[in-house]
Amino acid sequence: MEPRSSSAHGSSRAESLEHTVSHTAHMLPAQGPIGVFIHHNTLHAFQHMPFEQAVVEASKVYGTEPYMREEEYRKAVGSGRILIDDIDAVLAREKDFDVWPGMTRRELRRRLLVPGIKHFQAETVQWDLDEGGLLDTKAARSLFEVCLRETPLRKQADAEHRRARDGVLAATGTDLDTVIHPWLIRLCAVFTDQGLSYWPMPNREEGLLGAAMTLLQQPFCLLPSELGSLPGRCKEIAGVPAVDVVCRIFDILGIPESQWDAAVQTELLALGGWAGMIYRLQEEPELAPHEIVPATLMDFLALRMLLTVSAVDALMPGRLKAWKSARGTSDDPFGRRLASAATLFDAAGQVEGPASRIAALRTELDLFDELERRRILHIAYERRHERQILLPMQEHRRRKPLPQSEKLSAQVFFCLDEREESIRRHLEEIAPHIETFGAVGFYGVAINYTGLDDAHGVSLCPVVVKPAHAVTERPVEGHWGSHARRVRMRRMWAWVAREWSVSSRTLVRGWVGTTVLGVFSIVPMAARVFSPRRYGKLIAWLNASILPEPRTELAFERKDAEGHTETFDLLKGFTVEEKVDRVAAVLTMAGLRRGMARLVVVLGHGSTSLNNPHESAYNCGACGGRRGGPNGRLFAAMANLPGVRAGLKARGIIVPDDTWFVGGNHDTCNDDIDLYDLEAVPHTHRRDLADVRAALDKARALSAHERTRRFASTRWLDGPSEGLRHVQGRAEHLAEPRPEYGHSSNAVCIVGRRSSTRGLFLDRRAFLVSYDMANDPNNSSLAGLLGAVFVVCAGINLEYYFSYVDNERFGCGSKLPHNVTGLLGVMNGYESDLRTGLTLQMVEIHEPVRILFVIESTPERIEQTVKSNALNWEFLEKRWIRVASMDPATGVMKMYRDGVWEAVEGEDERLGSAASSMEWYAGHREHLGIARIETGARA
Amino acid sequence: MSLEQLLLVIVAAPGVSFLLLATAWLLGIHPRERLLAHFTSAVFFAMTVASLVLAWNMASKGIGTVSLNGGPWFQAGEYAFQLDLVADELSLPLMCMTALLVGIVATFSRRYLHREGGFDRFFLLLNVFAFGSMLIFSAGTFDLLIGGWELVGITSALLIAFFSQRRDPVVNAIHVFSVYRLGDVGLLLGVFALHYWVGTAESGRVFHGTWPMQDTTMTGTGATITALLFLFAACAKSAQVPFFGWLPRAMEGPTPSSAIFYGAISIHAGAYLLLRIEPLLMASPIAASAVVGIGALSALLGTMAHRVVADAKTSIAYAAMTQVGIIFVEIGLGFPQLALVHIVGHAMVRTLQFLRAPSMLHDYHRVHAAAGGHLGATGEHYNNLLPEGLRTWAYRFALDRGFYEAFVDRFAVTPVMKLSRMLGSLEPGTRVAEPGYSSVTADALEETKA
Repeated sequence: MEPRSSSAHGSSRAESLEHTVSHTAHMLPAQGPIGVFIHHNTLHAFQHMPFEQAVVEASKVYGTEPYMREEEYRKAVGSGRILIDDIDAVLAREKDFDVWPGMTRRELRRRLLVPGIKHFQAETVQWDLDEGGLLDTKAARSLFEVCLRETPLRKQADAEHRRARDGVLAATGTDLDTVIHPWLIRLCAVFTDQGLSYWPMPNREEGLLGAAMTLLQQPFCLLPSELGSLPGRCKEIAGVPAVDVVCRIFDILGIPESQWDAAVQTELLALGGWAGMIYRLQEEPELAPHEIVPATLMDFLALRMLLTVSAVDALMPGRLKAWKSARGTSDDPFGRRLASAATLFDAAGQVEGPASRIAALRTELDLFDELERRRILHIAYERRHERQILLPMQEHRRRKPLPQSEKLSAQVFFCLDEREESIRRHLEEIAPHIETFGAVGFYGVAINYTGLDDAHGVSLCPVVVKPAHAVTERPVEGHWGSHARRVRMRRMWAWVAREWSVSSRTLVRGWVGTTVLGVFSIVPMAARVFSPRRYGKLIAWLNASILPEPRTELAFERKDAEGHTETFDLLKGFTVEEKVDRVAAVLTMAGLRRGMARLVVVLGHGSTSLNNPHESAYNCGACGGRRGGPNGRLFAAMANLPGVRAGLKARGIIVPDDTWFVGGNHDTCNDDIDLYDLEAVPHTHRRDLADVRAALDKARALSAHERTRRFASTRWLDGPSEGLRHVQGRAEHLAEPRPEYGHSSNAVCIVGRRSSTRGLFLDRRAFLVSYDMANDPNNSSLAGLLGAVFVVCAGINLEYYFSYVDNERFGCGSKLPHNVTGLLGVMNGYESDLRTGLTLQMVEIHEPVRILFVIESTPERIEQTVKSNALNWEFLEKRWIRVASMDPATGVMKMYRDGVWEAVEGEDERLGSAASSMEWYAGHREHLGIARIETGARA
Repeated sequence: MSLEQLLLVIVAAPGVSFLLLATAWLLGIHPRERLLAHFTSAVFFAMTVASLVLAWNMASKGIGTVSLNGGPWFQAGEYAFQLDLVADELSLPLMCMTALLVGIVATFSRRYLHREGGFDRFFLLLNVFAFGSMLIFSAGTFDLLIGGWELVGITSALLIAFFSQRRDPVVNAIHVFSVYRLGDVGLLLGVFALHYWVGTAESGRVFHGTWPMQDTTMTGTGATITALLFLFAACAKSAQVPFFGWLPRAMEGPTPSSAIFYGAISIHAGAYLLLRIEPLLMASPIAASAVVGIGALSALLGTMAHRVVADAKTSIAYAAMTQVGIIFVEIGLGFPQLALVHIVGHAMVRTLQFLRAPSMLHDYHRVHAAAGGHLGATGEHYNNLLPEGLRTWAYRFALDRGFYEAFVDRFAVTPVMKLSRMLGSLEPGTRVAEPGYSSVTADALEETKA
């Protein structure tokens, strides 16, 4: 054992280590327990850098891909998704000169991009050369020799190993991670478990390190040969705080303070999913759905180092620092040189320059390496996307506006979610006298909500907001009796379900259970697999007929005098003034220019699917990964109060006396629409309600049909009702890894008046936010909107981008081998890192482009507003998003590019035209361009 | 169609289906997902219906055994490999169950594996697996049973390694395959012992009467040794002591294959083998006690390991091991019919639980909410049963799964590696060649190096 560092010294060392760990923690995946899935920028730790630099820096830290692979961009060139024009335009933004007489750099680079050069790899280049037929002719051989001569042998500098595992691997051939990870994973899993295991870990209150050490020190236990010294090591450090444990082990392993950053980073990222979860639970313990555990990242690191040092004891006994100088043989400089020469050879073939230019070509090729080529190709890929969106939209504005119905029968608010684009469009197509709006889906009411069947409250608002108001659902007068019956029956059901799920797996009860009752499992199993939709309906019917359903209302009133509720530090409901604030804000932003209809429907949204640990990721992002129905219901209830109406009037917002608000929820998976509190709708509005419901029913079926075109397993369905039945079946199917496609393919966010986009087919790819500059003289509404919209939409978009370009590392890979762990996340198989990010099945039809915001305002006003918010400005300035302005009067588009607003001109992308949405998408599975749906205008 | 022909159809159908699909694949014909899956499901449903018809006929006509004598496949001296199929009260329920569950899993997988790279592979293997299981359950001779046993083993390993682009599934598949092969030694020697002592491995000649009222002429040492050898094989296949540790490793495959293999069929194959040799166990108290002992120990270990597991699939896997342990006890104590009922019930429960494993999160939350936000603490049994000092040790023992990994590492892997390294060092002149370059580039390399 090394002598212990002096304690006076120790505390500053400890502080420095604490600092290193908390700094490194930001590199870890930020995903919390999977029951609540929040979309966020996967590279949030790199957000202060420009996008193109961040993706490259991240690839060095995580070993990830920055962009799609070069072949995928080539394929896009082949299919016309990238045009030569785009590549030329992107190259034109860079400096140009002659690299040799008769060859400009631009021309050379273009040839290296299209048709492109082959990229050879060190591992396989030998085979390519021997068997690939490249060197069949004499001329080729001599050219290759020139190329080889121009390619110097570059040995990689022998970098010091950053962590013990790399050195031990080089020295002994044994991968430490395979030795210690099973232990670490198992211990972390039982420590953080939220109730999946039957027997909870003992001594959990002592923290991960303490609890684990108690277990590891048990006598009469057999350890694998690599961890023989573990109990002894545990004894040595018993009672030492975790931070000192780490310091000490770093000393033992010979890691000086100057190398701590690198060591801590690599050690934590080696099992980044688990480390990230521990860190999340440390920072926000209340994220744990059931059991609060005293998790600290330092404990995790200490446990990791403890296991590591024990394994080094066994693998390199007596030479605990020798791993640092161990030299591995993994680098193959000859192979790399050969591969590089082969690439040059291929480039020489493309460029067809004289052999004397090979040296110059070598230099140019090194400057225009694979990474740089992918960057240019990616920007070209996005440029085409910009033009596909902006040019047709501009054309749409230039043409005669689609006539609008004079009559206004109802208005429907949807969440800005891009999945709502289709249902809005269909609704307007079939019912031109209905107007739709897009708002941030929590409708300004940030609440802690407890539903009738919920055990405790949850936040229904964007994650950056902490709700201050509690709202509960309660039975109305006269329904308390049936509510009590409902609670009793649900308790009974819970008892039976719990008993069965526990007892079927234990020894004695399981024996009786499986022998006597086991056979009956065949009934739900066969029914769920063969007829999921009918079975789901049956269960729903059984529930409805057995469980009493009391009429309910929301409790959200608070008198000014009343204070906080007792249990949480929350305000009970809202005062009149608070209600007026919230209703006014949403109505003003939306800009209801044409006045208010007799009926205003406010729809939140959520998603229901089966057998899907990632279900929450399909819910409303603006409601913190939950279902937003209660927000819509609450908003409507508030807006119907006479007191609130009076308050609105005082602020100049006139809500006519004959306007009634109805809240509701749209399920984006099975396309159900529930409307709430219909008993309260005045008799005079029954007709209006029936009309709106009929229209919504038609629209959701049409929208469901449109969704089915994307599912590769689905044939063309004859009509809207078949589409609806199909998506309902999907939601109830046990075996369905794609209940819906979620935000896949999201690419655009349009902030502006609906009249500017009404009648446009936007392919469910555009977030739509209602905003009218005319009602916003000082940009305050815009600032408020962009504050929420940039974070939410860019978070979703960037998560999809990264999960797509590197699904195994940024995303969580295929859903199929996933295994729910501790009710917190998923692993692959029985023992792996926690998988974070999105599944392959969620992103497979995505197009990885940075989101394009189209904001209907003037460039000056947009720039000023964005600049007023540091985070938003970072998004824009560092190019994590793209922004274009649309002139409210003329519809002229300008694209923001590095501080300049460039006009978007050209005829290369035209506006399509069709008589109906269905006509436009019929027979297509791929992304579709923008089209003007002419019947959308029929009054 | 006679009942014998019906039996042949049931067993051969998945085999023929596999051959058809595999031939098509080799010829470069890739049927579309939908066609492939529908075809496979149709085959399995035909099998289910045929099995039920067969069972109905036998039950209503009071036929105890239907056997099909396929004649010898090949002969060597006095030995002949007989292709005999038998359906009796033991094999029929299991054949019906297999056909039904494989059908359900195939239908499930059509959705589940849609667009997955290994779609075709999965369905081909599912056919092989169904054929193997049918062979195990219907083999009239133990020689033929080995065939089915091996097919199930190899498909099991191939499906664990289904995601072969990642390291872990492949490593774990190899682990499971090694354990299976070790167990196969027991089966081979057991069959060899039958040939040695009885002169045949035809179950109809080793045992007399109809199941479950069979008896055997074997007694004493012969019966004991043979039974113990079969028990060895059964333990490996059914994840019982001392081979149980491979079970969680098998969870690397896609969920439906976990369900059908380790929830339903494969895990019960060992129990079936013991049921088949029930008369031998009755003739040998030693063997019967061994079955009871191993079953009880496995049930205990399984239930302990299950209780501390914090992930859905491993939890179900150990729960399955527990019940199979009890099934072993039932067999050893001489309650074959009870064991059979237990197998069928258990298979149904576990298949559904595996298929629903991804729901565990939401199921728990739902029950939690319905119970009013509080679920009774679990695991208090042990806290009450065990003295305090022993509790933490017992938890460690359970978390370490009875020290299985350490045991294998210390007493199997390390000695074998040592031995092989020693043997390797005795062999002169075997050095791994340095990476070399072929003639074309070597000259050029030399030139530039100089």
